[in-house]
Formats: sequence, C-alpha cells, structure tokens
Amino acid sequence: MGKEYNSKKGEKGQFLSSLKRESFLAQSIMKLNIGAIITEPGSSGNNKTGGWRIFKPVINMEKCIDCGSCWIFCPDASIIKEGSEYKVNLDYCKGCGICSNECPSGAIELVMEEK
Amino acid sequence: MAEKDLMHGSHAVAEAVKLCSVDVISAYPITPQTHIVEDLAEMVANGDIDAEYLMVESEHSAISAGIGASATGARVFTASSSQGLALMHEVLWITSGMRLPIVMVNANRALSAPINIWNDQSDSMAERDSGWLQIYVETNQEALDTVIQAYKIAENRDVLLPVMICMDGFVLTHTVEPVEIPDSEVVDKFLPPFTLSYILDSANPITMGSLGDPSYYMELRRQQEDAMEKALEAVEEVDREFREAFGRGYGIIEEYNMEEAEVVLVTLGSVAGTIKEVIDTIGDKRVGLLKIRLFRPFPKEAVLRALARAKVMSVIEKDVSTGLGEGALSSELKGILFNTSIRPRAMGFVVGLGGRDVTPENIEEIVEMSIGALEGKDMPEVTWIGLKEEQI
Repeated sequence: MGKEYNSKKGEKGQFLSSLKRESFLAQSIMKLNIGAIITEPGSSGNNKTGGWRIFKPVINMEKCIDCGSCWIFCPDASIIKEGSEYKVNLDYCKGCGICSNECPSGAIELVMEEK
Repeated sequence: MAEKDLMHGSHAVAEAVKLCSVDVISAYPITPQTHIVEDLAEMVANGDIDAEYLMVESEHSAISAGIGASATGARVFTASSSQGLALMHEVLWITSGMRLPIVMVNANRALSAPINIWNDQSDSMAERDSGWLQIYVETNQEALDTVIQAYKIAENRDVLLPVMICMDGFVLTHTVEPVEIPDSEVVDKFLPPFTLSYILDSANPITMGSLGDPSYYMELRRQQEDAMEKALEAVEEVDREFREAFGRGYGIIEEYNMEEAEVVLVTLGSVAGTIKEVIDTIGDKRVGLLKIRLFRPFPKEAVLRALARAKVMSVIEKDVSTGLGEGALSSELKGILFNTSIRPRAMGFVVGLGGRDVTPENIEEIVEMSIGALEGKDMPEVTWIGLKEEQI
C-alpha cells in the first residue's frame, strides 16, 4: 500500500488534500459566540480535528501483536483499545505517524487518504 | 449639587473611577500615571470605593488580572503609560479578542530609549491596531467625563470592547484645572450596574479564551470589526445622553473656526488647546482646527465631511512612524482621502516628541508654512517642528 501511495504523489495528491480541506471548512459552520466563548462544557470533541490529516494510519491486524505501543505513544488519544484490539479514531487522528514509527512489528502503514 | 474644584487631571480621573462604582482596580504605577493609581489606592484603603485593589508585579499582570476580573462580570479599571502600556501589548489584543469591557486611562508618555518620562503619543499610537477604542482628551474635565462615558460605551451589548482614554502625561495629568465632579446619583442613573451575559462561574462552566483555528479565526476578527462599527454609533449616542444628563458633550471630532477654513490643522489631544489660542490670536478665517477625539474606531465620515473644502491639511502630531518619516495620523488621513475626490495638500508636522514643549510660536510657524502651501509655495511634506538640527 505504501508503494501505491508513492505512485500517486504530485498533482493528484494536492488536489485530494484541497478537496478534503473544503469539506472540512463546510462542516464547521456554526454561529460563533462573541469573544469565542464556548458555553457547552466538554464540547471540544465536537471539533473533528482529523481534517488536518493528509495520511491515515492503517493497522494490519495480521501483523499486530497487541503490544499497545501505538496506544501509549499516540499524542492525541486517537488509538482506541477495543477488547484486545487496537483501532484508529480518524475523527481526531492528524496523521503524524508516531504510531507507525513506534510499532515494533511494522503493522501500521500511513496511507494517503482517498476521500 | 455637582461640586467644582481645582484639581490635577490624575485626581479628576480617580474621582471619575470612584463615581463609576468599579469592582476591581488592577494597576501598576508608572510616571506620569502614578497619582491616578495612588489616589485610587487611597480611596479603596479609606473605604471610599467598595472595590478590590489588586497589587500586581507588572503591567502585563495588571491587565491580565483585569481580564480575569472582568470575565467574572466585574467592572474593571486600569491605568498605565509608555513602557507599561508596551508591556501590556500582547494582553491588550487578548482583552479586545475576548470582548471584555475594561476601561483604561493611558497617561501619554514617550517610549524608551533614551528613557524619557515626558509626554508624547507614541505609546498609544503603537497600540492603535489592538482592538481597543481610543479617545484622546483635551482637558481634565473631559478626562473625568470620558471615563464615565467609556464604561457606558464599552458595556453596550453591541460593542463589548475595551476603551483606552488617552490623556497627555504631565500636560493634563499634573496640571491643575477647574473640574466639576458630577453627583453620584446622576452618574448611577446614567451608568447602571452591568454584568456580562456569560461569566466565569463554577456552577455554570464555560470556556473563555479558547482556540480559534483557521476555520473560525477570521469570523471572530470580523465580529470585532463589526463591533467597532457599532462603537462609533455608541460613542455618539453616549455623548448625546451625557450632554442631556450633565450639560457637557464632546462629540467624536471637534471643528473650530472651520466655517471658511482652507487650511485645516488636524490634531489629537491637549495641543488642541494651544492651537485654538493661536487661531483666536491670528484671527484668520482661512485657518481652522479639526480635532480628532475618537481615534478608534476612526470616524471616517465625519472627518471627510470636515475636510471636504480643505485646500491644505496640516497634521500636527506627537508621534512618528520611524522608517516612514511621518506620524500615524498623517498616513491614515491620506489613506481615507485616497478613494475620494478631496485633495488637500497634505503636510505633516511632528511636534513635541519626548516632552518638547509645543509653544504658540511653534503653531504659528506651522500656520505660516501651511498658508505658504495654500499660496502655492513649495513646502516640505513632513517637518519636525522645534528640532535643533545643529545637534544632530
């Protein structure tokens, strides 16, 4: 999959990321309070910051040894533990790649987003 | 009955703050603002004002603590000058961005280096983009009255912006003038108690000072600009109401001897008094004064109306944008004229930097040069008045 991504670098890649950016801007329409006051406590999760991402991590479950390194090292709590399996929460993942870098079994690949 | 007394400008400001029933005074002393906050500290200590006086370690803390207090719904006053105002710089933007109606008196003083405690207006001019309203006053009475007006403007729900009252250091702060102190009952009626719609309250938690990422920031900035437009109306409205309640008003600009004026002298602050004296002495109908009282928001329409017949526009100001070679007001006036058909000959005069006296003779020299330009003589675009060139 890494190779597939490399072959798509260049113009097409830029086009995809600008499309994604527009949909991100459209999604965040809401009336802003004077002085940027947020009146709903604990509402920061409503801001889906995953729109900043260009690459997404994809976990190959066959290679995954459930060690939890990705979960420990993710700076944004975007790796979720479900039972003994680890999954990626793409609503907030910014595609930094730390999970992939830390994975001892090479189970996490960063893939250019197609959508 | 309102009392009339002789007092320093600083004391007049302290009396105004007392009348406004402020809840929190957060300030750090600096010449020539010091006796504003000294007087206030004394009033609080004597129980004359029911307010918290916050002793802070710097101006940065003074305005930051003021923000915290204002966010709880308190009415907040602060005062500063020169290096103190410069130290507040980043927090000034936070105050206006958070839309907190804090009122500050800035005792205008030159900026270092070289260190200089005397008057000019470089300090507040350097903060003109910070989102605070700026009102330049001419007399001690106006300083007192403007503090009362300022809270009513800042607390207007369509405005909710901080106000900086710019008052020439020493020239006003340390000069004794007759000042009428309004009755507190009339002030209470004019300026009712106020609290913000959303306040810091542990029972109803909210977030203030949150992140505004690229998808929100521009809209929030535009909200501030829209509020500045509303502020322009609010300043005029509050001034009208003030005139009804107290019999005095100041407008957003002042025109003096302007009926037939072809040479329009434009200025800010206390030097307008000297200019009026000179205009009266020379008695030339061709020479008038346009005083800009409200500098932010800039009263474009009123200024353009006043300049409509001007053949020479001579801007007299106590600041210089180093590297551009002229004062900020000069550049801004030329900017607003650009898309109009009004084309006076624009002359800039830098005066009174670092407390250099601006004498009637200096003003006469400016008038003479301006009349020279009116009569078609070649005149410099910018002149530093009273400059001792042999020392440079």
